[in-house]
Amino acid sequence: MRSEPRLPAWLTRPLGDPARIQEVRKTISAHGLNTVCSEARCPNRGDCFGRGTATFMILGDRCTRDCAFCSVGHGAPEGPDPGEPAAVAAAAASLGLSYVVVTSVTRDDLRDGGAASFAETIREIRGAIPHAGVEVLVPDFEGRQAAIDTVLHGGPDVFGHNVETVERLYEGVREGADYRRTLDVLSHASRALGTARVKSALMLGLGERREEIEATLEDLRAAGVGIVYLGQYLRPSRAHRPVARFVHPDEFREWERRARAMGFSQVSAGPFVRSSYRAEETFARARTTAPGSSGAEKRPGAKERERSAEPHHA
Amino acid sequence: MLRDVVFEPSGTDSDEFTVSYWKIDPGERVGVGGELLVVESVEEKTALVVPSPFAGVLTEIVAREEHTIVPGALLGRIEVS
Repeated sequence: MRSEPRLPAWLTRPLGDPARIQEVRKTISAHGLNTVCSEARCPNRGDCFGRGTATFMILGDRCTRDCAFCSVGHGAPEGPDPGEPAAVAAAAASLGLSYVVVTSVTRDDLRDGGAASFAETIREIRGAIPHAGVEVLVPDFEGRQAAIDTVLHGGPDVFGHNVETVERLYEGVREGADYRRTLDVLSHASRALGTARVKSALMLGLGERREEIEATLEDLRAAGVGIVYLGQYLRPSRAHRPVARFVHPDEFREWERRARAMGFSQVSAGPFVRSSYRAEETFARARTTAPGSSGAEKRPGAKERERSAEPHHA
Repeated sequence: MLRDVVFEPSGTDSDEFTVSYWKIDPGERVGVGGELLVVESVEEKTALVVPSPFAGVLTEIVAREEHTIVPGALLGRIEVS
């Protein structure tokens, strides 16, 4: 007998192209790398792998935290692999990527939270694929601004850190994290990079109320976030937090309109939207629709990046 | 010629799925790549449409709605035209 309610029709999609999916998997595996696509059981992996894209997950496959929504393994991780940054760059080049998203497990065991590995990975990608855009999706580094600065010195085109859910649900959903600390991370990055290049994502369907979503979006705007993604929470196994509700695509469209009205420069909202899903398209739009902003329309040169990543204090 | 339709969820990582519903009934014609049925898996976080590997007429449904299936399972049979 079925133990789960049937998924609504809008969460149905075709199987991906098997040949291309296998090619991406072989490339990732040949370089000894992990993707958050597979580790987090992303529902888009067939689609993304089929289009030849993936989001690299650095610093191992074991997270020092154990969030209730996430299937990435947790436990005591191994030390960082010094060859990993170059391996990510080689895999991205091999896959022919023009936009590379790099994320990681949370590494509260490391003094810098793995920030240096992010910076090195960005530099290696720049060396291997000079024309590629690079986006990072980082953990909160326990709020350490020096770690955020280290990542920013690497020169990402987009700096992402996900708020994930509303403040009330942090306890129980995002153990070990702190809502205000997440806003501080985003605020710090925004002061250095500019609003148009700072991104965050929010899952709906965890039990949040409408006014809480609204308040979270307002907090993100106040923190200087310019790019926001909203998607449906889907649990990766029966051991994870149940879905509280399936949000209709029409409601996602409403949230997209609302977020744009609040002043976000780039918004993506929909049942299958994840923080790195089709991120290259958002970045391309940002480049063409934000002339004159301090945003992603033009990648800063190395010196400019150095300057822009200097800590700013309000 | 009668051909078996075998469940081959390429690109997925799950080893257990549930048949949600068939999109066509026995006696109906389907083309290569035409939509046959929808399956679900908690681990896939999505429902997946299984395409037909053959063109022909669906003659038999073996994996019925609500049944649990694994990769390699016999889904049904198609009289290939």
